[in-house]
Amino acid sequence: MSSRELQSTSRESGKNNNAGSIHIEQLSKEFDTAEGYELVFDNINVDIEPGSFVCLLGKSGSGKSTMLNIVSGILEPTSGRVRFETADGTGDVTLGHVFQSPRLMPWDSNLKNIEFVNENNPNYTTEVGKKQLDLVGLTEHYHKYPGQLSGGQRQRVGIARALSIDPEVLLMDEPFSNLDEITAEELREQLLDLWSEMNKTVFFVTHDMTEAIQLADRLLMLGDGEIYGDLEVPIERPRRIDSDAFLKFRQKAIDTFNSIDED
Amino acid sequence: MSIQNHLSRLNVELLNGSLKSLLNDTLARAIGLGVGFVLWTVLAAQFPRELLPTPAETVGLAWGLVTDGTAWIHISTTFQSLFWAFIFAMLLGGTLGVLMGLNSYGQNFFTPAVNIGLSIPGLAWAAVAFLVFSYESIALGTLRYAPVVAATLTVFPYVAINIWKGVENIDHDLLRMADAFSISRRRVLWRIVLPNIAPQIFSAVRFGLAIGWKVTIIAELFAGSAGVGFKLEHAYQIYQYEEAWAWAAVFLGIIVII
Repeated sequence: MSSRELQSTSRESGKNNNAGSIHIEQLSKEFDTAEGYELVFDNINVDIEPGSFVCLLGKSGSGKSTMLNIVSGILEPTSGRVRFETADGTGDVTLGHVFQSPRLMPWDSNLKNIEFVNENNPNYTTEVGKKQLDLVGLTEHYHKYPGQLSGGQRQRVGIARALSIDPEVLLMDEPFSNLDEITAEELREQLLDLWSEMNKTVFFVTHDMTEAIQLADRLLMLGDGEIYGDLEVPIERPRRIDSDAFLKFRQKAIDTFNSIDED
Repeated sequence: MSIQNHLSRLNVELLNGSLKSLLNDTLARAIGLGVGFVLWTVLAAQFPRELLPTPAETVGLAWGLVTDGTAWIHISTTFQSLFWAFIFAMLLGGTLGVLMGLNSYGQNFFTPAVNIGLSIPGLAWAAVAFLVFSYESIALGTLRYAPVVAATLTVFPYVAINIWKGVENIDHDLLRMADAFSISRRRVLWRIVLPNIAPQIFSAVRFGLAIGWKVTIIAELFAGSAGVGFKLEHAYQIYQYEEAWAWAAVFLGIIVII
């Protein structure tokens, strides 16, 4: 069963509130280009624990977003599969998506944007949508339009929208890369608060090492068609980016990240 | 001064500003219209009244046609033709526009038809429609179809171009978002596609009505058996030039309303 089918099944059943695990098994992807077949990655195997926060790092063109799109079901793999497991053992998983740009419909209010993705969610009510906006600090903005918000506020609506479907797995594709550093920092803290309150597995794509170490339990590094780095982040939360432990681990992670160029 | 007072003063100033601008625009238009009427009156004085009546006489005659009910009968006929032409043009042009916007094959397939359609004037379609439908009109009474066909063929390329550009410019990020959240096609159509192309649809409707009305009248001149265009031509044929001017005034009045 594809992830898309799993997602639909879950929505129809209306159940939820457990984190799901992700199992990437022998995953390969190649694109048919004018110059022939281009291999993006080959035979990737990764298991992501339920409730964990995993960051996928890689340089531009390494295939990070391609992998995320395969996990989300938007792209089909060339071979291999992505499997989800849930605590109830059904594997029926709901996926929430947060994109690099918020992708909000400018002609609909923030609340309507949230309602839009809850088409098959029988548990959704306007109150649920309002609660999600409250959680991301947008209580005063239910009926405003995306064009009336700042970039950071729009991204908050994007996060609220993804959480409104009560996903077991949250997939985030460089969601803060288009924001200024102060706003991005605020949103990272807010995301960590939400993650610690809700039991969600987060699979987060970024190219920013500091951001990845701030957020994640585990760092995966993708390059040359393989996962060449897999590091647990051994720093207590909350993490201070100027602490010795942070700086020391950051250096180690950067060394690992750059090791692929030294081969 | 309190903030409320300041804001209300600001509102009054803004209102005064927009009111002033509106009055200026209306005044400029009224002056332009007035100058046109004066020129027409001066010109009318140079010709026999039967050939070129004054604006006042023309408006009076047109008003007479409206009040005695004659105008409504023929306006209704013309509007029926326009209605059907508009429906057919929207269906044909809308379908082509969507197919052209969806992929490059559709675009390449239909571009020649749309470009040829754009380059043929409504007058030519009116003549063609007259030739085609007058052949069988006596036996089948099909002459009334000529304005509908001429207006449909003139208007559909404009509709197709507008809808094509609208579909082509749909925000694909929003479609991908909907895909990621597994939203049904019907919901995507109503909530993303239609609002996205609404400006182009409104533009197509506006163009369609304006061009369609003109071409319907032209086709009625050639090939009508009733309608505003037919009455204009009929009045001309029986040397009732004043009445022809009155029908032209009715035509212009409706163009202004549209």
